[in-house]
Amino acid sequence: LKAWVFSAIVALSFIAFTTLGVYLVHIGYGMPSEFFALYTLDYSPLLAGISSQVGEPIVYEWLVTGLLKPGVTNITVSVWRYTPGDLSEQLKESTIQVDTGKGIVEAKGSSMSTVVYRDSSFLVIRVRIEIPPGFESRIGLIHVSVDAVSYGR
Amino acid sequence: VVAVRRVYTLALSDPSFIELLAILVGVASGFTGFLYISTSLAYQAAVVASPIKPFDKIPGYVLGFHQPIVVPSISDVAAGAGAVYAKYVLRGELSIWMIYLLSLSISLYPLLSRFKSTMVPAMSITGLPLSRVVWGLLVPAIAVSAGYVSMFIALFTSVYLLYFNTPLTIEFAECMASLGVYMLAAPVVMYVAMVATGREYFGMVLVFLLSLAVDRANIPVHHLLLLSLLLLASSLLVLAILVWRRWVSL
Repeated sequence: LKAWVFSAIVALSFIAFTTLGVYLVHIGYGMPSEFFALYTLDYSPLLAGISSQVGEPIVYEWLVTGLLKPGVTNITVSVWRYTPGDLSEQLKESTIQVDTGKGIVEAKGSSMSTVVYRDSSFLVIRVRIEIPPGFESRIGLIHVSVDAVSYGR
Repeated sequence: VVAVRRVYTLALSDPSFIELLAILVGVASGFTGFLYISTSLAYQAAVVASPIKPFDKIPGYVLGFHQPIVVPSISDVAAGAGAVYAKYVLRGELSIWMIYLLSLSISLYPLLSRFKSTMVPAMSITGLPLSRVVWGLLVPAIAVSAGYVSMFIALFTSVYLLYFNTPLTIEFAECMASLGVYMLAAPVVMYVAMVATGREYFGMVLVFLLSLAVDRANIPVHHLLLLSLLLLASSLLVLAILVWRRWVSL
């Protein structure tokens, strides 16, 4: 091999590996294909008292962020409450609203699911839960789970 | 020009299978290391920059009675994640430099082996001045190093842009520039230490200790850029003095 051929091989190997790296980053290498988070709603007696007096639901809303492989994504949000007797109680009267950035999806019940196409690597959704008044007499922590699964581009 | 070309021909022509393999293994190890560390730091940055962490207690309000909670915009969250990523890259500088030094050492094996076998006879064959023989090893070493620097900047910047979808900031550019200039300065420091002492592995040990000291010193990004530039300039100056005095012992 001549010196310039050897130099060209070295230069080409750098270019090839760099291009491969950028391509892998583009298709989502290093990002998980599933995102799961568990949140606890701060169900304070004060808020519960106010909500029962005025007859309005207690609202919780927050942003869920994380890195997730871009592509077709199935987002599932569930709300339930642990009680001493019955381990898990579904809150069927609650309202779940998810803002995916491409529209708002709302459902009444203890769980909702939606499918969106994400072209970004950042998962940013806004979750809004409405707990109807009248839950203040029961004890137990209310939990919300957010599960997002990406199936890739 | 003809004489320098003759030196490069002697230094780089007819690589053996082991020499070709060393280059490819070095580039592949740099690629794997940079890709792994850039993506893992980005993931950590995204988790840290999230406004509310999993398992947090979410505060609520009564509908129609309290103002809704202010939800930050997606672009603000992404910009925050980008800023955290730049900090994490700076904090992980030692790991980045170690990946780079390991890959560079593997890649420079062919040149180092020829440093003893080819370059010394080259002086007597071509009758070149000592300074030109010095550039015969140093310039290819800097060129290989520049390859790693461009790979490092391309991968880390593409992770920043593609993961966070946010414009590049001055802080991130400074971070890339300071780490990149340090990487370019490293082979010069290695080379100066090697030719000044005549011990080929002394340079690598020196750069390793220097990287460790700089990492432990926890220097701000703009100071690191100045330090890297100073390191590059001073090592080139020392090399120039060595060549000028013909003090280099090959």
